[in-house]
Amino acid sequence: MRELLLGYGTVIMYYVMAVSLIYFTLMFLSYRGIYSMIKGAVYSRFQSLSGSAHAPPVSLLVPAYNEELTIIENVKSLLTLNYHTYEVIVINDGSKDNTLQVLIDAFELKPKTDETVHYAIDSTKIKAVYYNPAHPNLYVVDKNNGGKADSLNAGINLSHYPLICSIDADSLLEKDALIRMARVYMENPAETVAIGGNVRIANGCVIRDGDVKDVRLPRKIWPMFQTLEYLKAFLGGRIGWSHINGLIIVSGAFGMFRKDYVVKVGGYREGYPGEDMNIIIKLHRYMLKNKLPYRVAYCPDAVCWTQAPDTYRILSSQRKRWGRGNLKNMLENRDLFLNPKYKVFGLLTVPYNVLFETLNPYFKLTGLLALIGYVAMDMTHWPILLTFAAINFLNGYLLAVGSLLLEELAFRRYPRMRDTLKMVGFAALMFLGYYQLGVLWRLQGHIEFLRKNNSWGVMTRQSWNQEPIGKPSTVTTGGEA
Amino acid sequence: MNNVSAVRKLNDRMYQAVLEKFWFGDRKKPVSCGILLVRSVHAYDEMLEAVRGLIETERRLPAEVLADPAGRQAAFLLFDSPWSETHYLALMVKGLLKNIADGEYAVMLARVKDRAERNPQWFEEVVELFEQLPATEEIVLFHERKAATESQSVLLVDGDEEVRGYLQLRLKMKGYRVLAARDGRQGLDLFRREKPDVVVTDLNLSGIDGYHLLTRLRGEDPDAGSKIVVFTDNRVEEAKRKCFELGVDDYVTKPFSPADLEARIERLL
Repeated sequence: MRELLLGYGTVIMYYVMAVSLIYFTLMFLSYRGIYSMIKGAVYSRFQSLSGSAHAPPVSLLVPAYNEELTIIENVKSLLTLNYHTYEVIVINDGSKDNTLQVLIDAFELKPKTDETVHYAIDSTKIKAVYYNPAHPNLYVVDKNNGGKADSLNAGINLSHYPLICSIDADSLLEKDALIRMARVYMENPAETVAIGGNVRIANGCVIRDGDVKDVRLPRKIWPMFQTLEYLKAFLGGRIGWSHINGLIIVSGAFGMFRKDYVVKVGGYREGYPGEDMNIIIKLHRYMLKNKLPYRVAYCPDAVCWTQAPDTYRILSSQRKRWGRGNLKNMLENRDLFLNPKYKVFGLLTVPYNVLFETLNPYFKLTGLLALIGYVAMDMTHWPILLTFAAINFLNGYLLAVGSLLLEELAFRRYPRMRDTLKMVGFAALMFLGYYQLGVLWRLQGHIEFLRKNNSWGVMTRQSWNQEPIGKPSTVTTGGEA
Repeated sequence: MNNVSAVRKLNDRMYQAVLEKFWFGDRKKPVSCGILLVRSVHAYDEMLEAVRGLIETERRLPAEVLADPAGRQAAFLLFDSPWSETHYLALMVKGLLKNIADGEYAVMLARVKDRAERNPQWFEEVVELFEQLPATEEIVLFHERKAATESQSVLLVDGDEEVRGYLQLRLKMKGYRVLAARDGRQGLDLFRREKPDVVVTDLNLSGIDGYHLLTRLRGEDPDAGSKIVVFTDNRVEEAKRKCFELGVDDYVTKPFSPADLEARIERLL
């Protein structure tokens, strides 16, 4: 038993060292990447660029299921983006409330009879397309319920433009978000297959006319933790991954894709959460298999504001769903694991995700058991144990503060000093319970997966104008330790 | 003394001076007078003395100086000075200010119109415009609003404050009544209330999207009493086609030439 525990201790030490090394490398890459990104953005004149014919037209796909409270406001905001040619396709996924009717009433839509839909990928049949020439950029699609992936596929089938952009119906895009993303696309149009946007938490911010007017921190504790978590994942993690072209996820809340490749890989996978990670894995797989040069880029200055869950119940349900989706994706793509044919993606991204994301709860859990074992068998040297704990905490805290610093250097979205200090403080508090809960939720997600629970989980909706309540969104963060 | 009364005072004093000149001079001949308005935020007193001295040496005749220390501005009245001389003096003054006024100065040039002695309002207009003038290195010429364009109004809908402010000033100096709106909703409200002769609107607005605003404008005004000029960053052919289909009268793209835009607006009226 002693031997076993000792051996385990050694293994886990290497595990922790490896994960810390990876995190710090990613952070380093993020710092390197952000510099050129910021420089590129500073010298771009987005106002003028947004009217240039060189920026390709974009179809925004907005799947909507029971969104009658917020949909009008969000569509209005989406219709006033700073971009020369784009369309907004709202897909009503067989909502049980009046989502379709409120859209028809608000925009005086009529059924469009001359629209022929080309079913390039499988999706539930479109019942009707609604349109009003007075709002020439808006299409509303009505279809039977088939899930989020199915709705996106239906939207792709209707879309008229070469780029598609998936957006959650409860998210708001900044006016410049689309053109900033298109700028990244235009840097290398031949090879860019997908671009991720930066998802930020809108809870606590002042929103007027579909615009975030005043950026503030959430007042409630759950959204507060998530704000920090997102900052860390998006700035500290994804920029770094995109730097080595190993990005495994583009958040479903805001991501841009080349339609031709999405069609080639068969569109979004139906019937299971985690479709946003799945599509990226499929794109990597397709491009690498066919030996095509490609990149999955990330654009941190294209910002999408989303409502974060602010109650324990909804948050845990969201995280369990992410856990399930992640496990499903990893199992489905196990052939990529350490497969040299798939280069960085197979050798680094997938193993990282399996070892440090998917299997993370098991390491944490066995670690806890081992700790009990050590104490029970009187093998603990308290000073050493405490040193380890302190090093671990410092590691994590340094990473969290590193991403905050990145935010302060590059974006400065939180203008008030008080908010910055608050974030630094809460970054430490997260170690007392929040990270542990994350592990627990992921484990519960795995259990749900084994029980073949395939539902989407609870959601609630509330209008943007009121004190926001929020729902689980489909952003997956990759970086809780 | 607050700023408003100071302004009144300056134009009143200008009017008084012209009136005196008229009554004490040859009443059959119209008063000829060039006006040089100078503002300098820094080194005001120094500027005053320097300009006074400059005019006296150049012209060999003193100018009538009306100083308004509250507004840091002064009017120099150059009676019986030909237009070319007034202009030349303005250039000299500008050169002088460049050296002593540290950037924040403005120079405006005007010429008293015929029968100014009966028209105190004219002076008010001059000073009001000068008050609104931002600090600039260029000499601004005062053109009188023509009676014909007095009633013609332009509605400017643009989200960019700088563009809006700049065009507002330029169009005002052209003699239009300018209404400005920063987003679609405000633009539509102003349109309903004021029924402007020309609407100059961006396509990229907040609140209402540009195409929808165009449809609404045309819907509210079916016989096209108001002309619409789209003024936008959008340089895509398809967008132009769509706009003309929606019934706009002209399409001007940014970056723009102000002269071009003004000429197009003028042609529509």
